[in-house]
Amino acid sequence: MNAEGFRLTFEAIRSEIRRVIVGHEDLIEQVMIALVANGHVLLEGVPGIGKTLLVKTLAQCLDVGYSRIQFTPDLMPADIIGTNVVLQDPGGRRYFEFQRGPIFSQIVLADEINRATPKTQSALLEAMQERTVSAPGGPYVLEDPFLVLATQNPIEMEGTYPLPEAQIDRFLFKLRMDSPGLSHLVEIIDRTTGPSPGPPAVVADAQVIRAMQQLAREVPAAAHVKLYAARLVRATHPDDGSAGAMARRYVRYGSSPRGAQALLLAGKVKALAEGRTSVSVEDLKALALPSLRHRVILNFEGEAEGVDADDVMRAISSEVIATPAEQVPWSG
Amino acid sequence: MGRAKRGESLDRAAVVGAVGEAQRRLALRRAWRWGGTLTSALSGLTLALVAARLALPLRVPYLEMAAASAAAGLLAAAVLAVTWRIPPLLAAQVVDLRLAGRDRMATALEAISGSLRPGTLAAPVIDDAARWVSGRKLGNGLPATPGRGAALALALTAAALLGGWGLVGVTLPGTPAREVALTIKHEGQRLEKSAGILEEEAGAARARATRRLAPLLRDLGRRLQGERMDRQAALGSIEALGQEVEAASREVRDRRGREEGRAGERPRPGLPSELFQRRVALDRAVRQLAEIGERLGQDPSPQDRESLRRQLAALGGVGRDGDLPARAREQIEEARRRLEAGDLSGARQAVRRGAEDLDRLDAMLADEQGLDQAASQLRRSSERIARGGGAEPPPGEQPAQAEAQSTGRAPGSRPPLQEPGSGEQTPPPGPNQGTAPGQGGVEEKMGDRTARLEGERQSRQLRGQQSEGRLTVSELPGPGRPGQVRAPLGETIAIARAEADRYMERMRVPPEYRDAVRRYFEALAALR
Repeated sequence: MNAEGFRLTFEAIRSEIRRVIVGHEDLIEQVMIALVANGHVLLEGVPGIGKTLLVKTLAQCLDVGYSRIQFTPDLMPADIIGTNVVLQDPGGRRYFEFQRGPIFSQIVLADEINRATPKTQSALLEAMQERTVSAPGGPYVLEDPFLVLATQNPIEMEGTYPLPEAQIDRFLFKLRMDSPGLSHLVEIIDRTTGPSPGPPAVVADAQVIRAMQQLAREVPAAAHVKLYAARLVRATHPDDGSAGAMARRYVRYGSSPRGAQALLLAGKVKALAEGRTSVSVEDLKALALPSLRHRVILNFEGEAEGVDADDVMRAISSEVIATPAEQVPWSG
Repeated sequence: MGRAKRGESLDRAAVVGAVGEAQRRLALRRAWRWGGTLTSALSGLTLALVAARLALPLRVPYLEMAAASAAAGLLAAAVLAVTWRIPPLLAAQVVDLRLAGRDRMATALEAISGSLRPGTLAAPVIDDAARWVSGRKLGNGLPATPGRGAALALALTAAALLGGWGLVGVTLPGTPAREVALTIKHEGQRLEKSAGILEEEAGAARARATRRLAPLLRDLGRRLQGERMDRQAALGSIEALGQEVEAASREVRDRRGREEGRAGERPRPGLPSELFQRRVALDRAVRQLAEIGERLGQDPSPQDRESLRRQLAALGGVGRDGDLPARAREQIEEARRRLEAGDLSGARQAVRRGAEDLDRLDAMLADEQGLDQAASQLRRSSERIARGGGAEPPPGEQPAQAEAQSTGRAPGSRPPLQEPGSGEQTPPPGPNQGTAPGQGGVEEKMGDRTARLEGERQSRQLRGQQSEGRLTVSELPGPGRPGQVRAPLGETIAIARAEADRYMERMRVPPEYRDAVRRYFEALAALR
């Protein structure tokens, strides 16, 4: 696959999703970026705004396996990864056989992931990180592409088990799905109350996605672009010299190196999706919030004052020098 | 395959060429900026000095400074544009930033230079950058023209010029600059008045050069009063006229030298008193000659002739001292010879020619005197304006004050022997000094000089509540002024002796000193 093929395929998938999902342009693009960057997405939004539909539509476009797991407090790890069941052969001899759980799919919707116990959450998160499932007779390797979209409800926190920072760090993006605007809402009710438009067309398969994933890693990044990603991540650390006032005041822990990796890789995908063969600082800036907002841990003061991680990240992003050219005063 | 390679090579050339152009544009832009900054700084300094001129009597050559600022900026820009080299990667990044290249050029340049890890997308990156940059004009994002800095420099330079020109002579009240401006106006009035007096005197004394220059002096005075003029311009105008006066004065002295028969030798500039004395002597001689000529026309008796001959001989003798020019002396001598020979008419004509010669010389001396006065007035104005105005100190007081300031001693604490002029020669007599009634010498009128008090000044500080400042008072304990003794000597000595005895009894005085004091008063009593 070449860059142009990448762009066309990406655009085709996006168009098919748009046929079903109204609005949420950035969200759709970022979910697709996460898919091609081989990452996972933590989707935050109130119920009923199309999270499940988005994931399901994506899976339909790609003709890959899709499963949905509704996380509840009594959900057990075996309910996700599978379990050994006792079977009997024709000779009457009994034996154990591993029955694969819903994790053995390529696009997995982990709905309300924070409602399950940490034990169950960790089973999913291990599969996300290692892309293998440890079980009797295993380990079992999960097939690429493998995209987990975990959702959590930001307003109903009672009886939930918030994801630990170490596990949140494993998500490439944390996306926020807002309620649709007026015009989009009108279009939603128009589409959903009329004749069904039919399922989206399959425009790519797993093999194409894997090729896209490989091509994305070939995208070159200039030295100053990589430096910007590193600077941005360093600036989230309150004890770093480059940290801004807001980071020093409200941040307890900054982003891990995974944040820089996520940022650059996602930037490469975005560049290809836009028909460019080189990643730019603007790509990183556009993806700084979804890539880093969940990796910045606020301190007590930040929590107490209700500071949003997005605000902190915006402040940091505006302070970090993107390119040496910005420091050239005689250019203007 | 070959075509692909050729295309790739063209792409590289396009990228490198665009980066090179960007380098040149950036170097030029940066040179403009630095040149503009330099000009702005220098013009700002000029403007500050022009503004300071409102309060301080400064000489600000704003035209020269503004020209130098612009020249320095242009020169710096030219030198920097030629010598500065912008790194290519930085130039590519600036192109990306200014033309929204999304880091295409920088990435492509890194791919060309081999600093990127080789990958399958290296060639497309260069191709993408080449296609992108070929569709853009670098001049849109990277203008090589002077930017805002140069515009600011231009504005500051124009402001300095306008301020320098428009604020000439404008001063703030209560500042030293205002004081100088007032002094200039005051001196203008004075020069105008002096010019009027000179014009009148020159007309009466037939002083041609003075009559010619007096209007110029009056015009200068009016200009000093009327125009907004700073100190330097005023001093310049005075200096220019002063040179003209000096040249005229030299010319008059040359003519006088020729008239006096001293060809090739220019008379030295005389003191005003010398010129005056010479004019008085000449006037007296002219009057005497006129009287002699008149008496010669009245057919004098032999006794009168002898008297006239003696007078002519005496006049010729005075002339030998140098008061009268050689030609006049010759005419007087000729008159005397003709009188001895009995040629009264010839003697009379010779006397008339001598009087005319003296009269002409008198006119020249008057001219010289007038020019000297004009030069003196100009010098005085120049000094006062240069000093910055203020009241003119009375003659003789200024040196004492200056010395007091330099030595830290107050006037009056100096012994009489060190008074100015005490060890010097007697100054030349003034123009009105003479023996006629009402023209007596200064020394005769004033009498002997009074000795200064031989006391050391003592300072004391008084603290008071009415003022926050400190009040310093001075007391000069010392002997009184010497004058006539009015008390009888015997009584005074007796009183002093009694006082001395009383003090010696009350105080601890060593015996040997006590005897000495007693012997002193006894000796005084013996004089009685």
